This record gives sequence, C-alpha cells and structure tokens, in this order.
Amino acid sequence: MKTLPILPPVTHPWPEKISRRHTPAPTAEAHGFRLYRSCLRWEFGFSCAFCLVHERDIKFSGVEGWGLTEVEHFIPKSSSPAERNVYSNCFLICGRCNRARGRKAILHGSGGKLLNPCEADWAVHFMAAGSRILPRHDGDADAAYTVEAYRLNEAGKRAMRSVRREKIEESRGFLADTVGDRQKLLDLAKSGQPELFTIIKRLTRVRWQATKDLVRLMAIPQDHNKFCRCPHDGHHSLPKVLEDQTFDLIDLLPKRARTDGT
Amino acid sequence: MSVSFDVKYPEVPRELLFVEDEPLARKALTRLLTRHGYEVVEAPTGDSAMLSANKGAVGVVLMDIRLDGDSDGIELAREIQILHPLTSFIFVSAWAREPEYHDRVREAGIRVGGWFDKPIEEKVQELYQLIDREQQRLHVLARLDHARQRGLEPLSYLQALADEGLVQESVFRDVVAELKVQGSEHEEEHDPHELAARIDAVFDQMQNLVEERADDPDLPVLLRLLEEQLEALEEKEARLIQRNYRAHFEFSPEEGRSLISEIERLLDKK
Repeated sequence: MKTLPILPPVTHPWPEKISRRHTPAPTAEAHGFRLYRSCLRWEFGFSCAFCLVHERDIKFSGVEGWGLTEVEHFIPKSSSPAERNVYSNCFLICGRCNRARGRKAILHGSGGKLLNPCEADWAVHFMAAGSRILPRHDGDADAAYTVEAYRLNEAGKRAMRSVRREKIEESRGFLADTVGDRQKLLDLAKSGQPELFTIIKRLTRVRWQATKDLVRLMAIPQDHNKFCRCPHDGHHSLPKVLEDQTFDLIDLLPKRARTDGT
Repeated sequence: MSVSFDVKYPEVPRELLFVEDEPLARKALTRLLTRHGYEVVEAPTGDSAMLSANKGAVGVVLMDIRLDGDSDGIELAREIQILHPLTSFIFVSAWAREPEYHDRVREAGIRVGGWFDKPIEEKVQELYQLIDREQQRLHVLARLDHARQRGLEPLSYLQALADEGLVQESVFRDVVAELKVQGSEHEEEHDPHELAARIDAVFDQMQNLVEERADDPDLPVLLRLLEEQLEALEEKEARLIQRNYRAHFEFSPEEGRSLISEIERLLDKK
C-alpha cells in the first residue's frame, strides 16, 4: 500500500476488468442513482471509467461542465427506465464523455458495440499512444465505436493528458535526481564551505515546489469521503488497475523525511 | 450519506428587504408577501435600506431601480453587496426591461436573481418561486464558503449536495457558473463556458442535420463545414485547458535544470 500515491504520468488503459467492490443500498428515488456517486468515485479511482481522465485533470482544466464527474448509465435510462438505479449500470464518467455519448446506443449500425470497462479488459482493446487512447488492433469494431462514441481523443482530453504527463515527469524527474543532494551539500557546508548555504536554500525551495506540484496530483483527492451507502467498510482504496500504476511520493523524499514525516 | 452536512455554517436571513419608494405599491406587495409567509423589512428610501443593511446580514432584496431623491437602486445594490457579499437582488421596476440597466448591473458584478416589471401582482406566484430559489442559492453559497474554509473543494462539495437532492438544478447551474467566474477571473482570451456552449451548439446542429435532412445531397458538405468549425473551437478549448492546467503548478523545469548542473559542478569539484 503506497503512503502518498501520485497519479502516473500516463494512465494506461485498465489492464483488467474493473471488478466492483461496493454494494450500495438500492434506491428507488427518481435521481437515486446520484447517491451512488461516492461508491463510484472509489470504484473507478476518481477517474472517468472510459477516457481515464482523473478528477484532478478535470479540475485543473478549468472548463468542466456539470460538476467534476457524473454518473453514466451504460444502458441509457431513457430506453430502459428500469436500469435507472441499477448500480451495475452506473459508471463514473467525465462531463465531456457523457456529453459526447449523448443518446448513442450500445449497438452501432456498423456492427460495433460499446465496451463496458467492468466486462472488458480495457488494455485488450486499447492502448495509450502519446496523449491518445487508440484501439489496439485494426478491425476491432467495438473499440473503434467506443472511441468514437465517447470521443476519447477529442482535443480537450488530449490536452489534459499531455499537460499531466509533462508536469509529473518534470517534477518527478527533478525530485529523483536531487534526492540526496541536500544532505551532501549540507555536510560540505558544515565542514567549512558556508557559501553553499545559498544553494541549499534554493534547492530546498525548488524541491518543495516540485513536491507540492505532485501532491496536487494525488490519486486520491483531498475531498474524498468514506461515507457511502455500502453496508460494509474497508473498500475505500484505489482499484488495483489504477493503484498499480501510481507511484509513491514518499520514495522521492529524503530518508529522514520518510521516517519523521516532515 | 456521502457527506456530513450537520456542520454549522452562516445562516442566510429569512427576511426579505424590500426597497420601494412608492408607498401604495410597497404596502400592496408587502401584504401579499407577508400573507404568503415571508417576513418583510420595508425600506422606502436608499438611506433606510442602508440602515437596515448596517444592522446585520441581508438575504434576498427586492429592489426598485428609480428611487426618490438621489438614490439609484443599482448603486444601492452595489453598496449593499459590498457590505454583505452573500446577498441576491431581484429588481422590481417599471424599467426592468431596459438593457442599459442590465448592462450596469452586469458591470457592477451584482448577483441578480431576476427582473420584474411593474405591476407585479399578476406575476406574484412567479416572484415567490424566484425568492425561494434565491434563498436556496444563498444558502448553498453560505455552505460552500464554510466548506472552503474547511479545505474542501467547493465544486465537489456542491456536487455532493446535489447528489443528496438538496440543491435544485437551476440553483446548481447558477452556483457552478458563479464558482467558475471566480475561478477564471484571470482568463482573458475566452470565456470557457461560452466556448463549451458553442461546442455543444455545433453538436446540436450536426445532430439536427442528420436527423432532419438525411436525404439532403448537401448533407456531407454541411457536416464537413460543421466539423471544421468544431475542430477550431476544440483547438481553442484545448489551448485554454493547457493554460489553466499549467497555471496550477509552481515548479519551473528550467530552474530545476540549472540547479542540477550547478549542484553537479559543486559536488564534483568538492
């Protein structure tokens, strides 16, 4: 279990099906499905189940629509009202994917059908390429239709993916390259090189900036909550498919900071 | 329950402040409002309105635009809002349709619930609904202020309130828009909401074309033109996203690189 899990520079398509861990109490209210949102956020790692964009990406983009994330009905509630409050039919989705799909049906006239990340291994059908998520194989009609229906590669989503990658790689690289330097410089400064204190101060400041930037990209957002409609507890963790892709910020901090928590 | 809402947050006053210089009109509407269950504080002049505002918080204000003497309802609204930011104004005036007043209110950044022409008696049900809606909006904004002070992200908190069915949809949309205006005041090039709305409008146009003009031989050309338009808008939006995203980060890779070379030089030398 990572202490401070940070989002990966690139979220690769889920390497296996997402198996749901939450079992929220059913609801019959008209908009009862919204009550599943707490569960869905944990279930899908605070990420859009389809385009893999994270809540942090959406927040930083500053152009999100209806809230940060929404609830998608894989089987549209307009065509199957009975599916409206069925938990297994509800997915966490970003506003951009939700708007893109609109009223599109699961089956397309061309023969392709929409893929469901709880039934299909996303990585079998898709791969990350630069800032895009593309069908892994030519001729995979289902993957092609899913990319098209949710517009997985529209410019806004590509922009979010590319800036996240850039920012994480820059900060992580700097922290990794300079992890022990402060102590080395400090030892030299104390042994008769007082002029080195200037650069130690600078290094401390810049490392702090890079650390804060990564904290902003924590995979579990600060506003997470553990109050959901499940009768049990202990499932408030990232799904394995995302947890395995994150890295631990603690590994980039000097050993002293790791033990005394500073 | 997804979020605990039983926290203390600043209460929004239930009373309405009604600023109207014409006694008959003021008394008539006050009577209707009181009968409907509202508590009304009457202010016949700008001075008396400011006096009420000075005494404590103000919630929803029904404001006439042209008042007796030198008072001007819009200027008065601005002053009250400076004193009590958590206030919403419903303008009730014979000049409610004048675009000049709408422009002035927008420029002054006054939070407006709506505009009503006089006489208002025949639209009073609509007014009640609007007052209730604005009271809810202020209530939600007060909660968000409190949430922000506790380090919670206002948008997510708002979403949680909506999930619980505690916020009506139109209030949700208004509050989201208000939060975004606050969050994007630095944005000069494009209003992100306008851009998103334009993109949505192009999609709607495309959908309508496909649904209604399926047999039109010009359909492919029209769709291609719309797609080009869409692409241009989305490129703009993507640039905006990149800029907004980057603005949240402090670390400068240039400074990082120069520091690393300096440290390497120093450590090698020593």
